[in-house]
Formats: sequence, structure tokens, C-alpha cells
Amino acid sequence: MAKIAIVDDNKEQRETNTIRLRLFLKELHSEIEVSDIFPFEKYSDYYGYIDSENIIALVIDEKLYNDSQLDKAPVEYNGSDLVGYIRERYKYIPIFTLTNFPEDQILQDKINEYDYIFSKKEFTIKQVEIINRACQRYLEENQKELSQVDDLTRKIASGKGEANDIERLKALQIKLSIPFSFDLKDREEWLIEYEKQITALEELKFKLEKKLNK
Amino acid sequence: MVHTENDLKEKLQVLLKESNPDYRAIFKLTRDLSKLDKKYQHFFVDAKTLIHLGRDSIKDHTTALIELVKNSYDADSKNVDVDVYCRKGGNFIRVADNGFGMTKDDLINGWLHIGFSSKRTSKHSKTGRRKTGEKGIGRISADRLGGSLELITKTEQDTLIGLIVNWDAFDVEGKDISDIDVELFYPTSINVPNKDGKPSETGTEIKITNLRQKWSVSNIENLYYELSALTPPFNDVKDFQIELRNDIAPSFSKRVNSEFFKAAEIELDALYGGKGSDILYTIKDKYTNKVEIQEIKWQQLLSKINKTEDQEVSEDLKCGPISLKLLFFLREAASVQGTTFKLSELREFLDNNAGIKIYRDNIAVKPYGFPNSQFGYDWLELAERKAKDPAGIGRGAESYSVTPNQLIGAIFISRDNNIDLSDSAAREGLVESESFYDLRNFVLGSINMLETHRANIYPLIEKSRESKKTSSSKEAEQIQMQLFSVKEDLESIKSEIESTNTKSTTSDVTRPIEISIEKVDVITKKVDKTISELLNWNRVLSGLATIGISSAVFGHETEGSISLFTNATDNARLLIRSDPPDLELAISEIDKALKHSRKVAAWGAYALTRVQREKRSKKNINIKKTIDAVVKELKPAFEASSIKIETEGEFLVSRTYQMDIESILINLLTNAYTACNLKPGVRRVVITINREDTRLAQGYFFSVSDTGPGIAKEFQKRIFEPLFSTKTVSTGTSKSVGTGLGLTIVKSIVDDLSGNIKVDQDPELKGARFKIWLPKEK
Repeated sequence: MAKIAIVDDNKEQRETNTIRLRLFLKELHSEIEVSDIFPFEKYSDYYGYIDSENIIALVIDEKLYNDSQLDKAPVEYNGSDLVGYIRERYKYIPIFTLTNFPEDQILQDKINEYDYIFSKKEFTIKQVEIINRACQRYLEENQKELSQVDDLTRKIASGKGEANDIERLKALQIKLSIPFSFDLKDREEWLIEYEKQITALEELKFKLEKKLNK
Repeated sequence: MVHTENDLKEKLQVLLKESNPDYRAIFKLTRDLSKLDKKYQHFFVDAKTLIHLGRDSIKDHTTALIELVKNSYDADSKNVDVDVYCRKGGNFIRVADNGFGMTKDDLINGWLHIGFSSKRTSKHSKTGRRKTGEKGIGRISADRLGGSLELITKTEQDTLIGLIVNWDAFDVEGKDISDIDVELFYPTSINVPNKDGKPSETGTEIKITNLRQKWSVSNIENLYYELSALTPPFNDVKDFQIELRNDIAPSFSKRVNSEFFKAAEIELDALYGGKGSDILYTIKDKYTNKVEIQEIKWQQLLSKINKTEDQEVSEDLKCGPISLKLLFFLREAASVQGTTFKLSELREFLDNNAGIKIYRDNIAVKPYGFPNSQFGYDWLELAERKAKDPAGIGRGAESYSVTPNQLIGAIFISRDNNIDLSDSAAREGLVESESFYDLRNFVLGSINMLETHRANIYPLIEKSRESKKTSSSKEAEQIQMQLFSVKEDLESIKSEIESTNTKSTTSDVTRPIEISIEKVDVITKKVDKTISELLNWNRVLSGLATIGISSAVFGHETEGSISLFTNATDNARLLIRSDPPDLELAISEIDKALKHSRKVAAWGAYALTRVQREKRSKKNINIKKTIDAVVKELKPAFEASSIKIETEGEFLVSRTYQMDIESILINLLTNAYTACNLKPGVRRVVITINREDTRLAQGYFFSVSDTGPGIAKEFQKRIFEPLFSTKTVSTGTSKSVGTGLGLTIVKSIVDDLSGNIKVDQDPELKGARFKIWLPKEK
């Protein structure tokens, strides 16, 4: 089931906003669920979380670096730092900020990265309607392509991909603004080069053994 | 009645033939006879001239008394008693010394000879003291002190002799100075201070009665400080001690101790135990307030002064155990800032005491360090060394050297422990043996240590000169002092007029002065009120600015609580209305809302209590308790950012303004909070409170340390500048969000309280550490 993620370092704020979002989504008859998390220590953990939890939208607090939680120390970044990183991979995923300081200059400078900036003081059903609509649109537009990307990636990675599969995957990556983590052609060349190095090493080993035996 | 020449001659002959001639009558007759001389005549001096001369040459009664003590100093006394009693029935001033005293001849041909001063023919006393007065009229200024003077004196050769001067007898119209009798008498006892623990055989005792004016507390205070310029700065030295006793300011009834060492830039103590090659150094300076302890090998010390090149160096110093104390002074206005004395007084003290003296069993060994001896005063040839390389301190430790008149030093040795340092048979001083050269090199090496230290702290000296601006409260104090001094001067003029004029003219002359005194009184009160109002305003404004700065920083916490309160309450409402209602979750949301409503209320109280009126007055406050209370108020904000805040240290009470302490602390905590948030991981703020006395004053400090990124060296000089801020939104960004006022406020308050502020890296938390030192007032 698709989920909206609430990222906030303050446990009480996070819980109250999660309850609130759930209540309003229910009132709007939406089936989207809500997941809430304390910010991850590393940015890279968000990609795995978004993929594995089927996150289709994020509601991020701006001042993420204040609070700690049990064994988790405060993080080093704020919401507007995080949004840029998520956008590198998920160009069109709806991202909202929920903050006590919507007029904050830093936040305003990153306004283009967000879909909407919400004030925590005005987090009502109206705001949740906006979130819900954005989620529905994103789901409709991207779900199909994302699924295709997933299938094609698995096929090519297992070595069964054909030339047109690779071209199709490339086209989808461009459309979804997914950065190329690798180039398949380069990968093949790299493997050939790697095998060459292994052969050279084996030859060297052989020469050394020969010399020692003498 | 006009006498003929013959009449006079006859009378004179009759008088001369008497078995017990009347010398007073003979003197007058011969004087009258001399007026009949047709070729040579003389000036005659009106008796009143003496009074005018004495009064005109002396600034005030304190100076008049100092003149008498200076005479005791010049008479080589070791001890002087100075008594001033003008309350509780007492009405006398007494100065008694155990100097060499005066013979009858000295008294008649010297003391009674106006304008005569032995100091003019010899600049130094018998024991080598630099004589302190030269005009020869100091004694007649005693008239300023009281109407009658009784003097008793005794030398080794002569018997006791005394004289009585009734100054008021000179204050008559038309009499010749020689018409006024000064009565001699022959007392049987004299009361002078003991000498070296035994009754003194010689000395002079002067008692002045019918005092001209009442002495005030500030007069006695001035007297004490002026007297201290005459005494050496080392407690153990028994060269010249003054015991002041009075019934006006009992706290100044004590042995006069030189306070001038407080003006020393650097104080060095060196100790050699007598065996081995280790020499222990303790160096203090007034810039760092730290005591530096170093152990140096004798060989190292010699190499510092280039004495190892052409000779073998022995393990021990041949001279035996020595302790040395060196005080380094500058003769500039900055040296007396923060002390109670004037630059002129410091200079006088240095003129009297400069030089490095050797004390054997606490008695000075001549000629070392004595200004009268050509080779004795600068026996270490420091002036020659400076002349060869006159480089200033800016050139660094290698070439910088001090001059002899900047140093006061004492080398302590004893007959029993320093046997090799024996007296020279041929002339004064010690035998110039290997032991003596070791002693000399020890002192030269120690001077080099002092020079190196001064060169090392030179950047701090420069910095302190740059930042020596008078704080507003000190400026206010100076204005008040000046007004007070004008009032005192006017009162002194008035009392002088009253004592010199007849009753009929006095009121005409003194009335305008009385009006002026009243005006000065009114102005002083007005100025005092205006200044304290302005300072109070300044205090409130600093407090308000502090609330503003801290609210901007901690405001996030309040905003968060407000939104949480609103949303949790609304959630509870929705949860109760939902179908089915989730009451458990609703209650939990209501609890959360209540908790945050209390937080918001606490923040309101925080702002209101900051500028409470009672915090603006100076009173005894418990510093630790005040700090704990502020920490308690700010703790929720710190905890919301995972910052553990703790205070450690002792309870201590000081008389100060609570609002000032709070403003300093809140600004520092605001900075620490922001700094901690810039780094992930463990976040801590530690406040330490403790006593810390400096050389100049008792005091205490509180420091605020954090786990933030610290302050880059290049910013450390600038952080106190107004509008300069290093506060950024988060790590890696350069956008400044600070107002740049917090530390400026801190600095200004600390300056006003005569304290200081230092910043460095906390050795444990690794972030910034701000240390505030303040004087402890009772």
C-alpha cells in the first residue's frame, strides 16, 4: 500500500501530525497510509526507505537537527538539505514541508524544490486535501512507468535483457529523472578490463614461482 | 622710644657684665646698634613672612605631614611612627623616628635656619638613601598642621634637647622674625620607635597640637598611599617602616605597606636551594593573570646570558642558597590604571626604590642598588647592556633588554648560609669572589628570564593597550571623584580663610565659597542621580536586548509548543468525534497539549522576570543560585535540542547586579545552544563557577563551555565587535543569522563590572569556552 512519510526529529510533533494526517485522509476517503520516521543518519538510507515502504509523498520538518531519539543522535542536516538529495532520484515525488517558520529565508530559497510549504499552525483538512491530490496524481502518472523500470532493471541485471530493453530503460530513466547509476556498455568494458588484470596477475604469480623454484 | 648710640652701648655693657646675661636683650640691643651703621645695613624680615612662606609652599595638610616623614626618611630612620588624632578628644599629630637625630648645633644652625637644607649639599643620606626634599622649608609647613610644635631630638653624641614653636606668635603685624622666641628645653626622655627590636639611642619626636583642621577619612587614605611611596615593596625588608595610627579611619591604623607592587607589570621570584643545579622560577604578570612555574638548570641559565662559552660550569652555585624577587615597572599612565594611586606617586616610588639590592638577613648591603654609588646603583651594568643594544620589545626576546630604573629587586642572603659572600675589607661591598660572580650571573640570568617572559606576552600587552577604554561606570565614578575633589578643595580654602582672617572679614569672604560648596553638593547629587539613572537604563536595555536575542534563538521551541498545543487539542476533538471514538489516543493528545501549554506559559514568565526591578539594584546575590535558576528556565529548550546542560562549582556570594549576571549568562548560553546544534552527536553545555583571585583583587569566574565547533582563531579577535556574528543556520552554510550583539553586550557589562572575558577551546568538550572573571565585592 502507498504511503506518505512524515520525517520529523521531534517525537511528539511527529506523532501528532501523523494522527492528524491519518484522520484527515480517512475523512477524505483516501486509502493512502502514513509512515513516520526519525531522520536517518545518512541521506542514502532514504532511497531504500522510499522504495521498500512504497512512499509516494514526503512531509518533512525543516529543523531536523535538534532532537535525538533513544540511541539515535541528532542529525547534521535540515529539511531543505534533504529535499535536494531526494529530488536527485525522485524528481516528481510530492514533497511538502511542515514547519513552524514557513517564512524562513532558507526555506523560501528552496521553494522550487518543494510542492508546498505548510505551517504547522495551519495543518488542517485543507492542507491534507492538497497532499492527497498530489499523491493521487503522482500515483497515476508514475506508477506504471516505475513498475516497468523495475521489471526492466531486474531483467537486464540478470543478464537476460536485450538491446531494445536497454533502450526502453534508458528512455524511462530520462522521463522519471532517475540518474544513471551505471552505464551498461561501460560495465561490459569494465568487466573485460578487469578480467585482463586478473590474467596479468596470474602471469606475474607464475613468473615469481618460477624464479623462486630456480 | 629712640635710643642714642651711647645709651645702647651702655646698656649692652651692663648686660654683658651680668653673671647670668639676658641673651635675648643682648640680641635686640646689638640689632638696634647695627641699625646705626652708616655704611652697611640689612634686610629685616617680618615675622608673618614665615607663616606665608610655609603656607604657600605646601599644597595641603597631608603634604605638610608627608614633609615631616620625609625628613625622618632622610635622617636614615628605620622606623617612623605617625599619629593623627583629632576625634574622640584627641587633638595632636605626632611624628617620631629612630633616625640619627639632631645635635643642639644642628637644631640651632640647621633646623632654625629658614631655607637651609643639608640636602642641597648632599643628595644622599649617610646610608645612601636618595634624599627626598631640597627646599629647606618643609619644617615650617608644620604650621599648616597645628598652632604649636614641640620637638625633642637625640643624637649619639649629644644629650636630649627640645624646642617649642608657637606658630601663632609669628602671625602678628609689625614684628621682626627675630622678635619671636623659640623656646629651648631639655627633656629627660624621648619616645621614639625601637630600632632592630631594641630601644633606639637616637631619633626625633615631633608633636603638633592645636590642630588647624579636622582630618577626613579620605585625608587619612591619601596620607596612607602617599606614605607607601616611601616604603620598599618587600614585606621582609626592614629598611624603612612607617606605622600609621589614627582615630579617623581605623582601617588605616596599621603598618604602611607599599601597595605599589600592584602596579608591577611582571613579578618574578627565583629560588635556589643551595645544592644541585635546579633553580625554581615563579613568574606572574598582570596581563595573563597566570602563575608560570619553571625549573631551570644553572647551566641553561648561564647559556642564556652567554656565560658558558669560555669557562667550565660547575654543578652548584658557589654562593649558596639565594632567593630573588624582581618587580618590573613601566613609568606610564597605563601602569596605574585599576590601582588607587597616581602616576606621579608611582614615579616617586620608583625614584625612591629602583635598583636591585642585596639584603643580608633582611638588612641592605651597600652599595648594591643604592643610587648614590657610581657603580653600586647599576652594579649589574644593565644600562650599559641597554646602551649597546637599545632594541625595543617589538623586536622580540632575543634583543630586548630592560633598563635599571624599571626594576626593583631584592636578593635575600644570610650570614650563616652564604659564608662565601663575605664583606670586603678594603671598601664597602662584598668580596668579588667566584661566589659573588655566581650570584651576579644568577641575577642577570633571572633578568633575562623576565625579559623573555615580557617579550612572549608582548602581543597581549599590545592587545590590552588597544582595549583599554574606560567603561561608562568608571567614567561616571571619575566624574563623581572630580566633583568631590572640587568640594574638598573649596572646604579647605574656606577653613584656611577662617584661620587666617579676623572674624569681621571672614564671613564676607567665605560666604561665596559656602554658596559654591552648596552648589557643588547639589550638582554632585544631580550628576549622581542622572548617571545612576542612565546606567540603570543601560542595564534594562541590555536585559531587553538579551531577551530579544535569546527569544529569536529559543523561539523555535515556543513556536513548536504553540503549534503542538493547537494541533494536539484539535486531534483530541477529532478522535472523540470519530466513529468509533478513540478515547485513549484522545487523552494522550490532551496530555501532550497540556504539557506544551505549560511550556508556553514558562516562556512568558522567562521574558517577564528578566527585567524585574529588584534585579537592577546592587545587592548581595548568590552567583551559583542565580545561574542555576537561569539554567532551569532554559533547560527545556536545551533538552529539546538534545543538549545536556549542567552546572558545577561552589556557592559564592558577591555584591552585584543580578540582571547583569543573567544577561551575561543568557547571551553565552544562547551562543552555546546555537553552537551545539551545529554538530551532530553528543551535545553538552557545562557551566563552571568558582573563586579565582588575581594579584589585584579577589574574584570569581563562571565559564560556559560547549560541544559546538568552537571559534576559529581568525574570528576570536572580532567576536566582540558589534554586529559581527558567526551564527549560521546549520553546518556548512554561510548565511549569518545572529544579530552580532550578544557578545558586545557581554563585553560591555563585563567591562562595567571591572571584569574580563576570555575565550578558548574547552579541553574536554572541544567546543568554545567563554570565561568571565568578575571582582568579588562584599
